[in-house]
Amino acid sequence: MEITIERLAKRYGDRPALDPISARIGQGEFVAVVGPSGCGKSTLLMLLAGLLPAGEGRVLLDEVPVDGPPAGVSVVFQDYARSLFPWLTVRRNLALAAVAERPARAELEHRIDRALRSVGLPDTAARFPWQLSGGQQQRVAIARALVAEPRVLLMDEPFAAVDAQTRADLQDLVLRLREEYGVTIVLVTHDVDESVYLADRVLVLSPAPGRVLRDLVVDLPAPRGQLVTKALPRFAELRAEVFRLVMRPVDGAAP
Amino acid sequence: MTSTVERMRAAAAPAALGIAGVALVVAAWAALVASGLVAERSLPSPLAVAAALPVVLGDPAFLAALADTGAAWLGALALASSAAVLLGLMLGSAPWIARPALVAVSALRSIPSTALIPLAILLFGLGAAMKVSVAVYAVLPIVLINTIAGIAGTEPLRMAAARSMRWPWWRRWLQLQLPSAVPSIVTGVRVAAGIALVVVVSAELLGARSGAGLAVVQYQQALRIDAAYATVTVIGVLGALLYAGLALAERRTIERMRIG
Amino acid sequence: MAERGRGGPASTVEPGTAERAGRLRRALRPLASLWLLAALLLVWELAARADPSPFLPPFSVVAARFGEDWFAPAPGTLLLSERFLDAVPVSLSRLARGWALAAVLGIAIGVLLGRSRAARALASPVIRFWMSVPGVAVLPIALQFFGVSDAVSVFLIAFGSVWIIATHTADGVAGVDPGWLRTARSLRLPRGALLLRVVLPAAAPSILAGLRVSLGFGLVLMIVAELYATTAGLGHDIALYQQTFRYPEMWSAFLLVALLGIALNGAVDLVERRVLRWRRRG
Repeated sequence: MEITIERLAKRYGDRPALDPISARIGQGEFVAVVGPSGCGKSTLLMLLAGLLPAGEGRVLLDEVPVDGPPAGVSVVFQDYARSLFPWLTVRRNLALAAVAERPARAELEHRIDRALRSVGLPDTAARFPWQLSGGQQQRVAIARALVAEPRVLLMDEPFAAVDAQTRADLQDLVLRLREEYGVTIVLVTHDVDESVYLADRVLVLSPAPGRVLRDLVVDLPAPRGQLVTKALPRFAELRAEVFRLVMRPVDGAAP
Repeated sequence: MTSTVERMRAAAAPAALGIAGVALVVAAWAALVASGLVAERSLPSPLAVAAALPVVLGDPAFLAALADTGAAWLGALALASSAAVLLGLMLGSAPWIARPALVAVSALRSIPSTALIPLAILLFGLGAAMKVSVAVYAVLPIVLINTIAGIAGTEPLRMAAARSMRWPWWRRWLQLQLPSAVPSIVTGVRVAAGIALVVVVSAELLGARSGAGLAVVQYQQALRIDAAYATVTVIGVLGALLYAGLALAERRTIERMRIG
Repeated sequence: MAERGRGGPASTVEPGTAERAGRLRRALRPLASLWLLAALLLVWELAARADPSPFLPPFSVVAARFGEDWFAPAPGTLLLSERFLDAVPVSLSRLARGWALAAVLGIAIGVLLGRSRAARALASPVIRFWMSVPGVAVLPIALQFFGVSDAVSVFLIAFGSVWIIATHTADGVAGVDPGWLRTARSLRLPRGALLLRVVLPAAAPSILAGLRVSLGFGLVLMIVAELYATTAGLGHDIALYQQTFRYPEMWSAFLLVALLGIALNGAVDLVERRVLRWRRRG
């Protein structure tokens, strides 16, 4: 699915959160959005997800304007504790993702099992979220996103609430899922390393109100791996460049 | 300036909706009576009830009854609250007895207060003491439980500090445990106030010599059903005002404790 | 396993036995807290014997009376006496009907109010008013409507409970974590699934608290209605014993009502613990 962002802007009351932004994200692309905190990157993601009404401009998914959460788009939030429903088992949590399209029973079971296998938690269907570790819960949240068979996966700081080791595991999981499911991914993060390591392109936003400072192509070879990729000189260069942009004081000069 | 206006508008909107809600209920009531679905002798029209209001409010017997109810209610609430707070302070600072006391209190209060009205009539006759005793039985445990809970919630660090400063027990009580239990106690008193009113009116209904609860019965038996409804309306409005006052006092106290 | 749970010499050897001993201690803790209650009952006994009063028979007399009044050896009656079978099912059925009616209406009203700020503003003065009218004050008027019948008790119990349940439900629904609601929206849950799978479970702690409080109220109001205007039931029995000077029987009825109250509370506890298992996380 192709995402087109046309002069999209948002303000909260008097305070502008996002200056008009335009961008295109192609089918199957992996785009990371980075920027200093409070720059509106999460707002941008909520607008793409149809969870916030746009102030100006619009978002098109394969030419269809977004007004409300669209079919074929799944969201993974940062806070798994407030995104998984603790009173439902893992299986029922996952089943909720397909309620809107009512697949046949067998089909649903198949999708749930496949999603759980994909995230490496095949034996947890009967458990409750609170019986799992934080990293496992975030995996369940990702599995739930997959059950809807999305063509776009939107992720809002999905690895911010877990420890470093778990974060690396989850990053590699996302890379594998991208291959397996062929989805378009937009990832919002404040972690510069993460954005360069995972994405094909990095959109760097300015401090609030956010606008695109740089649309940077990450020309690192696939497949990527924690040790190999992060040891490449080109990784260090890209990382330094993004870092400079994020840290740059506001001077109004666009690249 | 604009923000003041906006704030006033924001506060006015719910109030206007609330008035609309009351009007809606009264209109539905009038329509129900006009439709003839219910007999006028069961449910008089709102106009008839409104017309009976001055009659009720001008009836010295009713006003005396209302004063009786109010006195019994206030007396029971004051007696139960002060006894409960004292008892709670004593029990709350000794954990070895606090739990058994809570178990005993919750077992003893398992008899619904209203079931004890016949016993209270035997013991105290039909006067104010009967109403007050049943109401005290009903609400003392509520305030007591809240007091003990409030004291149990005293910041342990502050308790340790007080001990290390060698405060005597009475100083720990007055300056630390009591203040930190106040929000919980006030909440208990607010809840108790509503229940005490229910119990006092119940007792009046079942055999007191006077009171607002009895007034409803007397009007009903005198076939002045409109006056009975008017009495219920007066009781409801007074109760709502009382509740609003107590809720405000509760908020104020809790706010002050937070700042302090 | 249960055998070893009793402690004994094996408990020092096996791993996990310390935990089991802890569980045992936890199971016994309520019993350890009962001594004060026992002491108070003893005081009652001694006081009543030292200064005999017809109104306050000793506890032992009440307990003996309790056994005679409410239980019978006949196996066909589940060991319950005729008196029990005449009074308790009648009373409990009133309570159950009134409380169930209040629960259904209260939760429905509460969800409506909790989901819409405007509805809350519209209804809150009306609800505040009805909450402030002691249910009992409406009793004479309910008699006018229903005559002396079961319906009066059921109405009174429902009327006295419904507002508590409605306000608790409304608070719970209005306070559902916005994170869960946002997730539900992104999953494009239809209305029914949103309500049943997300809103009601998330508001369950508050709803159950309302149900618990209202059950106590319901019991109080059940007794009032039965004292005032019925021809059967526990409240009616209490009034009868009082008027016919059968004070030990009156006390035995108090005891039964108290035990029923404790049993009902225990039942709500069980349901609560089962439904709210998820809250014990972390």
